[in-house]
Order: sequence, then C-alpha cells, then structure tokens
Amino acid sequence: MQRAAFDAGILTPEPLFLSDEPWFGGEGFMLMTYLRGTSQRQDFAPNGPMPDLAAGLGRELAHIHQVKVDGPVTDDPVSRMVARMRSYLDGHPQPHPVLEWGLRWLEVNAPPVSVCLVHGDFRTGNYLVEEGRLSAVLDWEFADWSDPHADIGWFCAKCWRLGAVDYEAGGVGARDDFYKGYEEEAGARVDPALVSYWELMAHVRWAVIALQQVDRFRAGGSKRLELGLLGRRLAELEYEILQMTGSHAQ
Amino acid sequence: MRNEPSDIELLSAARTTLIGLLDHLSGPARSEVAFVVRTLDCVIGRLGAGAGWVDEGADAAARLCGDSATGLQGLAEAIRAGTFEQDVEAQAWVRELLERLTAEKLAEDNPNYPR
Repeated sequence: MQRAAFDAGILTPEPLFLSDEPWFGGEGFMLMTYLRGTSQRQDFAPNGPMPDLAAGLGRELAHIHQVKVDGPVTDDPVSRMVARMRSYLDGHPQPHPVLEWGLRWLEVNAPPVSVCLVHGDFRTGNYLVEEGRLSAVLDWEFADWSDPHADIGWFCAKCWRLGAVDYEAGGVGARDDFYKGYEEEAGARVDPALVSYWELMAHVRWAVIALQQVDRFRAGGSKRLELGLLGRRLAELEYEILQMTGSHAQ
Repeated sequence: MRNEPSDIELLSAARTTLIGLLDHLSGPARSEVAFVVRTLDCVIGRLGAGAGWVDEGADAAARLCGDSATGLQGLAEAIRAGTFEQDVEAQAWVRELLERLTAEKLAEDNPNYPR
C-alpha cells in the first residue's frame, strides 16, 4: 500500500526493503528513504493552532483517497469492522457491555458508504512535520478499503487530539481548516454527520485496540509499560462512547 | 502466605513520602507530584474497596436480564442482540447502569473523575 501511495505522489517515504526475519530487536523490519520532520505535536505545534498545516493534512488525505489500488475491495466495511471487533471481544475473558453498546449503535445506525483506499491510522503522531508543513505520512499497516469519512473521523476523534481537545482536527487546528483543505483536493463535500458516525467508530476501535495491547503486555509479547497502561484509558474511551450515543433506535 | 507489608501499606507509605516531598517543591514539579498523590489516593481507595461496584452492577444486570447467573456477561450479550431496543424504559435503564459503571471505573485511578 505504501508503495502504491508513494508511486501516486503521496508524501511518504519510498519503501525499499521489507523483511519478516527477526534480525533487529526480535521483529521484522522495513527500510525506506529518510524524510525530515518530527511527529511530536508538542514539538511542531507548541503554541496553538496551525491552520495551514490542518489544511495541508486535509489535502493530503484527500489525495490518498484518490489512489487507485487493485485489491480485495469490500463494499461493507462497517459490518466487517463490527464483526472483527465482536470476534475479539468474544475471546476476551471480561465482559465489555459499554463496547457492545457502542458496536450495536454502529450496527443499527450504519450509513451508506462509498469505498476507497483509506490510510486506516491517519492521526497526529503518524505524520512528520518540517518547518510547519507536512513532510511525510507514515504507518501504513492499517491501510484498507473503507469510506473516506473513516479516515476523517479517525483524525478528528477526541481520543486522537492528544490533549489539545479544542483543536478538533487532530489536536493541531480547526476542523473547518482541515475540511477546507480536504474539499479543495477531493472536489467533494465532507459530510459532518458521517464524520460523527466514524468518530464513534474510532473510539470503539481504539478501545478494542487498547484491550489487544493489554493482552500483548500480559502475555509477555511486549514488555513496554505503555501497552499495559493503555488498559487504564479504556474507561475514558467508554465514557466518550456513551456521550456520543443516544438510544439505539434513532 | 502473602508478602508483607500489603499493597495498601506500601502505597500509603509511598504517599506519605511524596507528601513530605511537596514541601520542597514548587511550580510544575509540585503540581506533578500532587497529581501522583491524588492518583495514589484513588488506587488505595480501589484496593480498599474491592470490587463492590462490579458486583452491584452484575446483580443489577442479572435482575434486568432475568438471569441471575450471567451478570455483566449476560448484559453484554443482550445489548448485542438488541434485546432492550423495543422497550424505551429498559433501554434508558441499561444506559444509566452503563454510565454508573463507567463513572466508577473512571474514578478507580483517576482523580479527575471523583465519585
């Protein structure tokens, strides 16, 4: 996917070599070209919103959504995502009624979708900024086929604003600036109702990922303390899920 | 057979040490240590309280689902099946229960979410 994105002119390092061999640090690795920049929000946006960066991120995301890739395109990403998350919860020893509540809401209120290539993890922390401008989009391992609003919702979700909750576009700028950049490049309007739906999906998905990371930590697959600590963030995500949902019958 | 002193005793001792440190700190460092102390208060509270609120939630869920054996697992399954969606009152009750449980969970180790 990253190769296809690079070939299409997306700002991303050129992938050079991929290995599953556990040579370095016990894990596989990929070599790619070096691009300058930092991914740390506190380094590139320490003093407030960055409207030009927000717009640039919107433009680049719209560009990604225009990349054509052959592959197993699915026309029902919502059902697939909900089923995948439920399957994980079924194998988990603890019940998670709030996550079930969120998943049921997503299922009952599923909107029509238009499918394109999505990055799948387009958020602050997964791109580089150099001198106030976007220099690279990273971390393509969740790239998939889904609705474009899935990436927009993931980027704007409160859980990915990294503490800068008032800057609704990824904690770096105003939602309007991000949408404007996106719409200029895409030639299509962002639908705020669809973004809200996918922001809820983002919170549920991130909660399930947090559970998976805790399982990795407990199973000894990773000794990284932050994976264990993610489990203690689950309640905050569940709180947001309840805030974002009314009754199931909308 | 358990190791002594207990978790609560050790954490309480750590809390006392940190409170002693506060007198020598100022500015952001003092705020940071004060937050750790308040977090320790939450954790000590959690250890002392056991899992009472979880049991209470499970009992409430079992009454709602009409099955005393299933508790929160039964509630999760019923939500997935859409069991309460035809009954506005029941659905509101489920939501209230979930909010109550989440508030308890938040308060367990985060001083920003007092009970």
